[in-house]
Parts: sequence; structure tokens; C-alpha cells
Amino acid sequence: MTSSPDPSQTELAADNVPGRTPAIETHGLSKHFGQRKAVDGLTMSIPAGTIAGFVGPNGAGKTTTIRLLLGLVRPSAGSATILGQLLTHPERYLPCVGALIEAPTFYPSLSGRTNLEVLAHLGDYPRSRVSQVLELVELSDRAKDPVRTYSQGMKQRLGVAMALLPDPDLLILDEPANGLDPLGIIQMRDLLRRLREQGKTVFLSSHLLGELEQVTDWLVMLHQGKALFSGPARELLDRRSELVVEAEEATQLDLVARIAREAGYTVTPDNGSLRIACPLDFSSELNRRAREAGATHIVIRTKEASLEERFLALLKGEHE
Amino acid sequence: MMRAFRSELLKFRRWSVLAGSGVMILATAFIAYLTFHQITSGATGPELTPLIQAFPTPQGLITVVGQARSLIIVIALIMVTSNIAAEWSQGTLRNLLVREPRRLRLLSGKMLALLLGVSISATLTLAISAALILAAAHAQGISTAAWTSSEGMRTFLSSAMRCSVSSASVCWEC
Repeated sequence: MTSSPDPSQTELAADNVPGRTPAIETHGLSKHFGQRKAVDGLTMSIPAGTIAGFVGPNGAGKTTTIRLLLGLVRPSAGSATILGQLLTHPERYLPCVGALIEAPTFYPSLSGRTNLEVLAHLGDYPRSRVSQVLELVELSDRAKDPVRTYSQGMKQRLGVAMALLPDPDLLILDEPANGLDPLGIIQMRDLLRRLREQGKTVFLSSHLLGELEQVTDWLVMLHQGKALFSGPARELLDRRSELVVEAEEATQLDLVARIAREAGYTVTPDNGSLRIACPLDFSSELNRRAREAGATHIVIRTKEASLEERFLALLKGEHE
Repeated sequence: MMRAFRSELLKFRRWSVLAGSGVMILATAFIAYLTFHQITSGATGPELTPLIQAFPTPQGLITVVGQARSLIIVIALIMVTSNIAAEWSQGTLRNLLVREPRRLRLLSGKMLALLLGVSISATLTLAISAALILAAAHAQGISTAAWTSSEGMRTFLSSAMRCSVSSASVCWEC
């Protein structure tokens, strides 16, 4: 990871994703508040057309990063491009960006519809779009009521409608599942998948790791303002998956352990079984080689790590 | 800038904006009526002398109504500053900034709409107070011929215009 904003590097990274420029790309992006480094040399790349999860503990700098990307605060150092446009010209990319920042805010005494119309006028979007997005988040029947009478979940849905108003190419959502009931979360997930099918990019921050695991195909893990990981979600999950090998005879386990070590993987004996940290597709090869070596009575189980475990493991690695 | 202007106009539907105008109208009408009552009931005093002298002249109406001039300006100032402060504290400003990242355009469109709102409010306030005083004068059989003469109306209109413009410009300067 380098933090120098080098234009040739930008092109190189763009070439990695065939055909399309990344939706978001940052190089050493930093934001300092006095002595505190909220975002500290963040380098990441989000390919277009993906649902990218943005995870990290509270105070990791997720919201500050989002505020930087939306041009609400100026970076202390570093550079970024959004939809191929420089961060320093938010007026060029923001018309194609929809955003839901922290808890969505509205004018409480105005109706849901008027709240959206204020922003539709400001962004110069047609009024018919307001009805469309209200329909999409299923708020049409309450659109005339003042927002102060809305429940938390309804406000959250109105916030999503607000983000969808420009029919954005890039949707930036900060904790969109906040205050939603289980049904609302499922509807949100379906909505995000539909948007991805339309070729849009979704950048989604959340601390509900289980929720992210189900929808994201790209992950950025943030800790103390730095990216611990930025890449395909699959890769991260594979990297820490395990095979668990059980056998009745200890000699057979020893054989398996030797084969796995020779293949370059870490083996941990665990209560009469072995845990091998390797990609899951190693299991068939391991099985074949164990049979060839004479270990015929073994059971190989795959254990896929959850995002939560991966995240904690990464954090632990960082602290060590 | 026009987009920011039109967007701001929609927000005039809020009760806080209507309440601000309401307070302006009621307070000005009340003060104007109090002044009118003091003059017609024959009260005397050093502050009242110039008012009593102006009362029967074409400047009479605007002198009575204009007693609340500084109050109108203060209320206008509160309306504008609280509007901008509320955008900030409610957090709605960031929604606006995402849709219009050019700060100057957003702010100038917003100010234009607010100043227009404040001027309309001030004009309405003066008109309603003047109507009230005219009605009160009629009821008490006091001649209003000097006030409604062409010179009286001209004085009233130009002073009223000055008052709304000055309330708007004071807001602009802060």
C-alpha cells in the first residue's frame, strides 16, 4: 500500500477491473481532527457494479470516510476518484451519487413528500421521481403526513428514498439497517441486489457483519483509519477457512498433518482432530494424498469462517 | 442558484416560518393600536409630543404603524438566523450540500428566498396594522382624510418599502 497519489497508478488499478473504472478509488486519503487521525492513509478500490461492504469497529473512521467521499469535509492528505472524477470536484460526480449519512435527517414539520421535493428541486430532478422513490420504499400512503409522526423504520426508509432520488450510479449508505425490523432488513437486501442487477454500485457501511456477509461481494475492513483488507469478500472468507480432519488412529492423523505441512499450510492439533488453515478446495487433494499414503479412515469436514471470525482474526493480527 | 431558491421556497410551509410572521403581525398591530389609543385618549408626555404633532398630518398613519419598526427588523433577523442555524443543528444541511456541493450557490439561493420571505412578511405586517388603525379611526369618528390623501398614501408606501428593505438588508449584513 502506498500513499502517493500517482496518476499512472490510478490507471493501472483501473485496468485490473476489465472494462470499467472503479466506482471509488482512494490513495492515502487522510483526515485529521487536531491530533486525532480519524482516517489515516486509507487506500482502497471499489469496482463498479458491486455491493461493497465497509466494516470496522465504532470509531474506525467509517463515517468520516463517507463524509470525505461526499465532499462534506476536506481531506488533510491524499486523493480519491469517485466515478472517475476527482474528489476535489464534488459537483461533477455528486449528481450521480445517492447518499444516506448516519441517521437520516429531515424537516420534522414537513411531509415526507415535501422533504423529498426540497431535494428534488435542489438537484433538479423531475417531480415524478419523488413519487417513484416513495413507491419503491412503500411510503406512498404516508407521504402526506409530517415526518415527526414517522416511526424510526419509516424515517430510515425515507432516507433510502432520499438516496435513490437521483437514480444514482453509486449509492453510499451509512448503516442503512439501523432501526429496521427483520422484514425491513430483508426488503433492504432485495433492494440492494436489484440495484446491483441494474449495474449500480453500492457502498455500504455496517457493523452487522452477518448482514453484510449475505449481500456483499467486495469488502473493505477499516481499523483506526486504515484499511486492514480491501478486496473480494470471497477471498477474505477463503483465506481463513479451515479443514477439520478426524480419525480414530493417531498415526493416520500424523500422516495427514505431514501432508498438509508439506503443502505449506498451518496445522493445529485440536482434541483428537486436526485443523488445517487452507482454501476449501484443498480438501479433495488432501483426501487423495492421504489415501495414497495409507490413511484411509479419515473424515474431512470443511469449516467456513464467518465474516465475524475473519474480522476478529484480522484485528487480533493487527494488535500482535 | 435558482434551484436552491425554489427548494427553499418549499420550506416556507413549516409552522415555524408561519409562527414568525404571525408574531410579527400581532406584535406590530398591538403596538400600533396602543400608540393610536394613547394619542386619541389625550395622554401627554415628552415622548408622545412628536407623535401627537404628526398624527393629523399625511405622515400620521406611518408614524403610528412605524412605532414597531425596530421590532419588525429584530423578528426578521431572528427568522433568518434561526432558519440557517436549524439547518446546521438538525443536520439537514448535509442533505442539501450533497445535492448542491457549491456552497456559494446554495447559500445565495437560500438567502434570496429568505429575504423575499422576510420582505413579504414585513409588508404584510405594515398593511394589516395600517388597516387596523384605519378601522379604529373610523370607529371613533376620527378623520383619516389626510392619511388616505394621495400624499399620505405615497408617504406610507415609500416608508413601508424602506422598512421591508431595511429589515431584509439588516439580515443580509449579518
